[in-house]
Amino acid sequence: MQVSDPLDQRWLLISPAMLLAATWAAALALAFTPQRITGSLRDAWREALRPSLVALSNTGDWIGNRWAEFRCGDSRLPEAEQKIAALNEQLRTLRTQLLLAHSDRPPGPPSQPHDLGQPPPLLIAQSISARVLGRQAQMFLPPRDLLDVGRTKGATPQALVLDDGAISSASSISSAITSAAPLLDQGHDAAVQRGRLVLAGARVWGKVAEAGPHTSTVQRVTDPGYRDLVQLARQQDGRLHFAARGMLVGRGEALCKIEMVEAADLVTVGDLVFTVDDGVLDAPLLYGRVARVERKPGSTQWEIWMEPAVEAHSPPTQVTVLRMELNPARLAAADNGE
Amino acid sequence: MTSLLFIPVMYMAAVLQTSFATRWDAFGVGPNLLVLGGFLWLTQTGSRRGLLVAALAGLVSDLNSPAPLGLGLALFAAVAYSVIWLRRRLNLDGFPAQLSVVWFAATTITLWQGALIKCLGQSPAAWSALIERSALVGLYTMCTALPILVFAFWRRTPQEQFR
Repeated sequence: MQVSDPLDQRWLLISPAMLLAATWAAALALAFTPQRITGSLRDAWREALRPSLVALSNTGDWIGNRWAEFRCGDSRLPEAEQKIAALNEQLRTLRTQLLLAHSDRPPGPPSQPHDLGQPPPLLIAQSISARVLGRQAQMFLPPRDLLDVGRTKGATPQALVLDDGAISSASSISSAITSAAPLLDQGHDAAVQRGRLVLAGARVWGKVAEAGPHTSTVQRVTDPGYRDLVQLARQQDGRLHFAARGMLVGRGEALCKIEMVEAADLVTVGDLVFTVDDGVLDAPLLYGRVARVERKPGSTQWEIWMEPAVEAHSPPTQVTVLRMELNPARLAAADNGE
Repeated sequence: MTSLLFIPVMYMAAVLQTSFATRWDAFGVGPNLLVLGGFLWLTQTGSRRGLLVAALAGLVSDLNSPAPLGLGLALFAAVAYSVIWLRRRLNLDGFPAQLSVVWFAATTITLWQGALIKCLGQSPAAWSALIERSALVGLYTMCTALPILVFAFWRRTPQEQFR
């Protein structure tokens, strides 16, 4: 092959194998570069991308609005769509409340305890509103890293992490897995704690997996490792009958599994799955609906698969994190008693 | 094609990868626009600089993802080397050959990236899911390359003038 460009002629002096060896050496050097430096590199790269991402996002919004105008001659379509989504959510909540009102479960804690001469409840549920951050929004946040050590290796909260490759054997794992988890814009600053339920309306979406200073990640019901006690409710003659209890397990698939339900219990496809009454909430929260039921010959337990109430293809943009706290009225009553 | 043009091309690929590739996902995967940019460049330019350009695309891919830095650089360079090796033995100038190069690069890089991240213990994904995902990414990237290659080949073909 005849090469006319003098630069290309110089390139021909370097063999591809040599180039490959050089790039591998550079890759190896990068792999062993301290996290502090690679983190700054990534931050600089994000900063460089930011103006274009903002411009692209604005352009996308502008095109979306023009398209909406073109489609129905009205730029208020996105607003109307949001309203429809909110009304649908309200409708779902009311339907669940109506079902629960016609159920055989004992009434929850009285909402006006003073009128009945009972002491106020010790714990009350508080809700914290949070937004689910999109991938672009996440790019603008400083990345958080996970360490592959835990309590078993002596790690405690607030412990210092030394940035010394020679001392620390804890390899810093970039948040490859957590990046896939939804991120909320509320954290410790809004008293969000690990393990709290995350709701989309009256439906359970998941739990807080990890809470940072200003953000927190969500472990969805379908995510591997998700576990919670649930109760199944059967609809019969317009009434809701609570019967079996089981353990809801997320397996990283579209359907979750409900384990530990005895074969003697009556379970059918379409049964509703709720959180177990904990004495604090007025009504249980909806987890989903039984999608498949099987029983292996000789087995004493059902194999139940649940379809989550919050569909995977339409994740919520606004959620509520449930928080339990001591009732100030009860504490005040106790103080007055003393 | 001047090598300097590669910088804005890669920058745009990174911006599109971050903002749009996630919106265009099908079956949970999106096209790998950095592989697309790097390897289309490699196939379109006859020079050995293509290997370095593909390696740089790997570095951009590293900076764009939470995977360990250097992994993309090494993998893109290795796959680019294998493409150059193949080019010495086979004619890769045809349309189907160039499309196959994009598919091969996207599939191989995704598979190896996933496998190495799994071996490092940073991902719990099953091997079957990894293979399935790699195949889909390869297919999707190849489909995205289709209109670009059609345009490139159309430009290369001498146009007949109206008389």
